[in-house]
Amino acid sequence: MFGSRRIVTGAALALAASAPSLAHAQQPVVDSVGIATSASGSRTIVVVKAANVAFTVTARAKAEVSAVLRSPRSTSPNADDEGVLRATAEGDTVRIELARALHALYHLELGVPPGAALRIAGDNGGEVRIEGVRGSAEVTHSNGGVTVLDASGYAIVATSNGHIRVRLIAVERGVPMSFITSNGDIDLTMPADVRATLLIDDSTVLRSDFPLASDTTGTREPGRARSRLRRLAVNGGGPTIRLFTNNGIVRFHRL
Amino acid sequence: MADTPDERVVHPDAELLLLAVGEATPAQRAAVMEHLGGCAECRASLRELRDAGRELDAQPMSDMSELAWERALRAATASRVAPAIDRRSWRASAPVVAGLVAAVLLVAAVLALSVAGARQGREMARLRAELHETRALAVMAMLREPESAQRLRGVALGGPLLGDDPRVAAAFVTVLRSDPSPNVRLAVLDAVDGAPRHAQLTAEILRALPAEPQPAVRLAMIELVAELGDPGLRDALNALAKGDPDPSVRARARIASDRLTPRRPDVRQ
Repeated sequence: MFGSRRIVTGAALALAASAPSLAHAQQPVVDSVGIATSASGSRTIVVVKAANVAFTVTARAKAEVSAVLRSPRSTSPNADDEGVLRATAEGDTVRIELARALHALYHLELGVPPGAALRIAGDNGGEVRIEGVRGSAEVTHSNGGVTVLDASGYAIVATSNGHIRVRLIAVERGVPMSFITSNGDIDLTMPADVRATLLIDDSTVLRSDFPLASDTTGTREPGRARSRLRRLAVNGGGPTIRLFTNNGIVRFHRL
Repeated sequence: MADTPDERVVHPDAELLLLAVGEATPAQRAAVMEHLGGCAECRASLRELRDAGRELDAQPMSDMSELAWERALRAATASRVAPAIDRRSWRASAPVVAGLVAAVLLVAAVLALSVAGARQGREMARLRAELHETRALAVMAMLREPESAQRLRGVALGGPLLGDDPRVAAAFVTVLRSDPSPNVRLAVLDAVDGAPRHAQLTAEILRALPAEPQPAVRLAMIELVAELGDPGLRDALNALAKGDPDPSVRARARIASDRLTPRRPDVRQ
């Protein structure tokens, strides 16, 4: 189903030059890989695990998963950086990992087929930015904000220190979602007809474009202290959307 | 009516199912509501049936293969539930499992309508047990899925079983200790928050707390642990209040520890 290859240096530079994310284009490319996929975009699952990197993920027209690793601006590429990206494929799943730990903040640019499902596990990185992929997104990160724009299906995000901004253009029925940050605002945009039940701590400030109705399902048994959680039905209620921020507010927008 | 199990009590099973699927008449609703006021068992059943109904409502059609639908429909029109469901097939796929859980609910409702007059209590008890068993197995299958979204669904489906199914409680503890997603771990804590008080589960939460990497999850753990009100937990909370790397966790642990400290009686001179 997949053909795997390491892109040679010249091709890597060409790929990097064609990347739509230009914000980090001045940073030198240290490594790149690409894996062709014959699975349709919506069936491709892209699993990425990398610490000490900021992520940018965009959709590409072609049926290929590509990854370009750029060094920090101040650091020139050296021989040690070669071969740091590792890509494997099994079934409809492409995995991209680092062969060794990075000791500075690098930037990883991913190109995926439109509609691909993303599962990103980062740690101690900068911003994670996923834009226009139109598939589902699961992001676990720390010390960095997470932005997911124009996803479709569902999104699940956790970061320990940073904002969360998610815009879903279509929601899959029956799938719970969850957004967690210890320190930062949560900004969520969903289609007007989404049916969900928000689960949020009592002390968290929530600003919603949607009318919300208190839902008493799951009320505690008599004799227990009142729960710290509020359940709020959106359009009559549905699967849970958990919203947690310990230091920030939650905004829930209508698309 | 006493809130204790009594075999002589007649439970309004058929009316309960009608209420769960929104088909009860005002008179049936009033009768069931009066019964629910004194019967914890029926309250739990109603909660379980409504959850399964929600699961059915939420189930995307695309998640069920044609074969699964055929089986579910056959089951829904059969006179008996269990033989119509091929267990070997639904263990293979969590979405199908969820669909069949919902199918069991449908069958239960159909049977309830057909046996309402006869009050076949034993049959209803068997159906309840079947529904519970199917649901528990579905939960454990879903918690092993690679997608966090499926594991979140498993937690949502399993939450109402926490109070009376040790297998589900054990599976939730495993998730709490080893699931890679903080979102799923927090969902388990939310389920514990809404379940009947469970001292063993809370003790497991306390054990898992020091190794939990996500501050948001540690905060939720502290809330649940402190709710037990056991002064013996103070040392663990004090250790967190001093040593946790996250300032908000340290502050929350300090507040929780203070709440556990017994107040001195007022001394008036």
